Amino acid sequence: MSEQPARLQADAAHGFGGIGIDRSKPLSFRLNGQIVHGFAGDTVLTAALASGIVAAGTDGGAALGLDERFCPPIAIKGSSSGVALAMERTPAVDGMDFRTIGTIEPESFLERLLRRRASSLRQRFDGAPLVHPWTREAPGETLSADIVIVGGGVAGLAAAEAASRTGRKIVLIERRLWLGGDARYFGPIGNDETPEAIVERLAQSLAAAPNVTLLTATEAFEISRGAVLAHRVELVDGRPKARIIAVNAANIVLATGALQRLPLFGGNRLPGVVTAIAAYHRAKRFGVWSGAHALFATQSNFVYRLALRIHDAGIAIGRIADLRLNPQSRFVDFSKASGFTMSSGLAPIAAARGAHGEMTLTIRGSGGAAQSLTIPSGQIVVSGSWQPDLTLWMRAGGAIGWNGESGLLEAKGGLDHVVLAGSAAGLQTTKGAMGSGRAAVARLLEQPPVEIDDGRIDAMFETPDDATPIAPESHGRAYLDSGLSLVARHEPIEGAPPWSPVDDARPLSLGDVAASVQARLIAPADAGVIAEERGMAGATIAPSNWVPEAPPIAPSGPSAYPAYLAGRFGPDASLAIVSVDGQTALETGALIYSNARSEVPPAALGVIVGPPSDGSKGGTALLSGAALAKADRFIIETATGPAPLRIIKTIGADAVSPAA
Amino acid sequence: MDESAFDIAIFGSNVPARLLAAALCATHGKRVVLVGEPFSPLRLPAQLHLSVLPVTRPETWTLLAKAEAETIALLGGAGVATALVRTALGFRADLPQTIEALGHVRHLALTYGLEATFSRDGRQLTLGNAVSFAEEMLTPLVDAWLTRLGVVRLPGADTEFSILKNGSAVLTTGEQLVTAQQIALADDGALLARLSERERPALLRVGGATAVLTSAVRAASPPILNFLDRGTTLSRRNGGFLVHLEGESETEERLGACLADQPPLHRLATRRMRRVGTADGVPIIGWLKTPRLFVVAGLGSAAAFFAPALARLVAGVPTAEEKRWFAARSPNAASRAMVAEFVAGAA
Repeated sequence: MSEQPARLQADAAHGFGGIGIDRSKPLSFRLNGQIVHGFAGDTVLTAALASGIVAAGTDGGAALGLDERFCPPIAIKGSSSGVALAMERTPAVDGMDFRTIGTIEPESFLERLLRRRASSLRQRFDGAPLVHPWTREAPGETLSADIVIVGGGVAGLAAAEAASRTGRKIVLIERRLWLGGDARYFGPIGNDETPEAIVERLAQSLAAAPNVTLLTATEAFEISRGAVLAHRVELVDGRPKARIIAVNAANIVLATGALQRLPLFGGNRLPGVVTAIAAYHRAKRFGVWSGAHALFATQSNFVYRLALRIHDAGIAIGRIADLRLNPQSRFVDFSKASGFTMSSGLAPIAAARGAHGEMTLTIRGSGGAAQSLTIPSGQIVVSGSWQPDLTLWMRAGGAIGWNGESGLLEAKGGLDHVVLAGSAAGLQTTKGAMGSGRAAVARLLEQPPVEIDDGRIDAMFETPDDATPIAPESHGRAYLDSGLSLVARHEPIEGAPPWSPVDDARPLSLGDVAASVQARLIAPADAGVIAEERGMAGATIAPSNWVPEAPPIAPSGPSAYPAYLAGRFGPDASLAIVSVDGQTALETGALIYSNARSEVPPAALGVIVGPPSDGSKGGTALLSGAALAKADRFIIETATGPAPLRIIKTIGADAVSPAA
Repeated sequence: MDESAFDIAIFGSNVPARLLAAALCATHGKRVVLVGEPFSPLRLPAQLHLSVLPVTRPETWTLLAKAEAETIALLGGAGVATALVRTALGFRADLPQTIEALGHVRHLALTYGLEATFSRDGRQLTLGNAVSFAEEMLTPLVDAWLTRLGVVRLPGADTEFSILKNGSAVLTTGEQLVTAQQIALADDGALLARLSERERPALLRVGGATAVLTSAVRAASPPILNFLDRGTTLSRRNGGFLVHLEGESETEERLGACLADQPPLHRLATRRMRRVGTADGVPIIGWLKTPRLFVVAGLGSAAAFFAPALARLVAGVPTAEEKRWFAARSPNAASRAMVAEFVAGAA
């Protein structure tokens, strides 16, 4: 097991030995030259995490944690063609040699000599957002369906089951390798059917339905002209392969779930700092938990549930610090009964990682002194509120806005043929999510409305979740979100030029925008439009050969001049053929003055408006009628300086008119 | 002093509206209430700000030259001129009539002391030494200055006003009530929100505009390039382009055409907005007869630089030259044919 130091015991309680891996089938592969050990069922990411690789690399010199929402795309070494692979969706395969796509820091001889085990992929980000290269790829395969459902959580599964019963052709797209979404993390309410049982039942039903195509390990990233574009990873002849699939469908259900926000504090993306939902899935699916200890910083009851279970699986709980004052919950009570050290009214303000993997979390209450908690090894598990994932909704043209009461960006209005379901639509319970999935299908198919029961536990019995913790100031780099954008809270530096969010150009995730509202970087009223403006990154701008069509030709000819010259040389201006020496072509726009050339443009007597209409050398001038009456010689600006100008022929003022 | 009595209420949220408020207060000692939305740093700038326009009227060039110097002095006096930069600015033409108009622009620019050179193909005029600023850099500095000046701020969304018989106005924000001797609608948003279609001057044209931020580009010269006939301006910003597209038709095609010589670019952000312009390319500035409001529209990217002159007009002390220039561009001007400007493009 020393090859996989972050793997929990196979028989860990609550299935935390990893329900998705087969320990009887060990494997190994290379990733950026490092040997990674894992088991069948692992992804490249989870095998790397199990093997002790905790950092994706560095950002601005600081280590950056490797995470489900932030892992570099990969390719098979030596394979120069093909679509890039997603590390978190690529099955671990024995004997493969992967490399991450991006700038890799070379390892010095001394580093190689001193290190026992690599803990980083050594990728250098330097503030640049991580871009998924497949968003620029063209589809390699096109499917068609009556309804495409994006998201294989309970809402998506319920929607797919309801739609499949109508006999219509259904495609369900799920980014993870498994179905069920995050429902298992929350567990059942009271005597409700457990999420495990619900998912098992629905998944079996759909797998048996001939009109349903289930695509797991497939991430939808674009909705354009009625088609959903998705990046799919699968094994072909034993080798991972990716391709872009376009699914054309008349109707779309977006059951894209919700993303757990990252609390805002310095060091919030260091290796060893992990969101509760990521920690849960790593442990439950893959038996991965870094270190033997854990600290928790939360604002939610469900983190206590995770702490209880992971404690049962053999991890020591250092402290649970809750943002809320004296929270009440069955899980809080169980945690007390289990003897956990808990404190309330405290928010994380900084995290630090020691040279030997020890983790320190600094917490502080309102007006109180800061306390630092250190564990010799392990993870700091943090939680924030659940932001509905409306990225695809925005791509489909949907609007969003900030709800000050819920502290979330929520969908506004509706779209034709695109409907939200589940937590993306704001539902919070498993029962509610399932109901909304069925309701979404009913709405798309113009069936009678389906009632949705999203009954939540009353605040009398359980303290509701609080908003995402936001430290008042950053001790170290504080990222706004866990995602690809790598946007950190800007801290003004005295003497430095002001920060420009345009120069610091990068897309913003919904989490970035929500954190910006909470941190008072942007006004709540602007949050929706900012998310729409800056959350639509990814699409490549297609070159075009567009050229403007000339507007209808205005009346022209020897007696017309542009409207923008009307009145400039008096009401009686005349056109005249003029010449300097019979040889020099005069430039359009060249100004004409009286013989005393000291005037400024407002005093110019005329201007060249084009070549002479008679084909001679020189130009056609628009000249003040009064000046023409007094003189026939003027001064004009030429490329070589002022030159004398003479009138060759005048056109009567009566015949002169500005072009319309 | 009555804390709720103001000389002027300026409705507007953009930089030109803020600078007008600052100039009225700092230069003319007026008590100003600024009614608008707080600055939102993560939004893309709605427009570029440049001291030079592709105009063909010498009197406008004279005003612009003065406006540039005065704006530098105004901001310098407040210690907020650090955000100003000198830049080259290109105008590119597709259509023959636009090439012709650029000829006029070039000679005027030369006379006013700007470097002005045509490209070898004769389609692009590059002017040197224009003054520009990044909106998101300048606005926080101006806001701090407005606070120092004592300019009172009211939220635009929650503030209503009514005009009294004597021409003054009463503004209400929830329970708060203030009075102002005059009201100015100083940006497009305020004009659209506060004037019904019937009340707007007939020459005003309301259309869409789009701002796009792109990923890193190949070096391009000059740093700001206005494709006049495509209604598109590229502004190089720290590796990428900030693109402004006027009009709502064929925006993707025009965008793609202006970036055709670049490697494939990613779109990092997109902002859509409403824009107020004029049919003849001439701004509309002055007091409407009914309702009695001061309006500013159609100054384009030079609007911020007109703040000192606009402040003199509003304060009742314009120079003789300004008085003539503004009168010809008043909403009540009998004819504007004698001040018509070049209007580019098909977009």
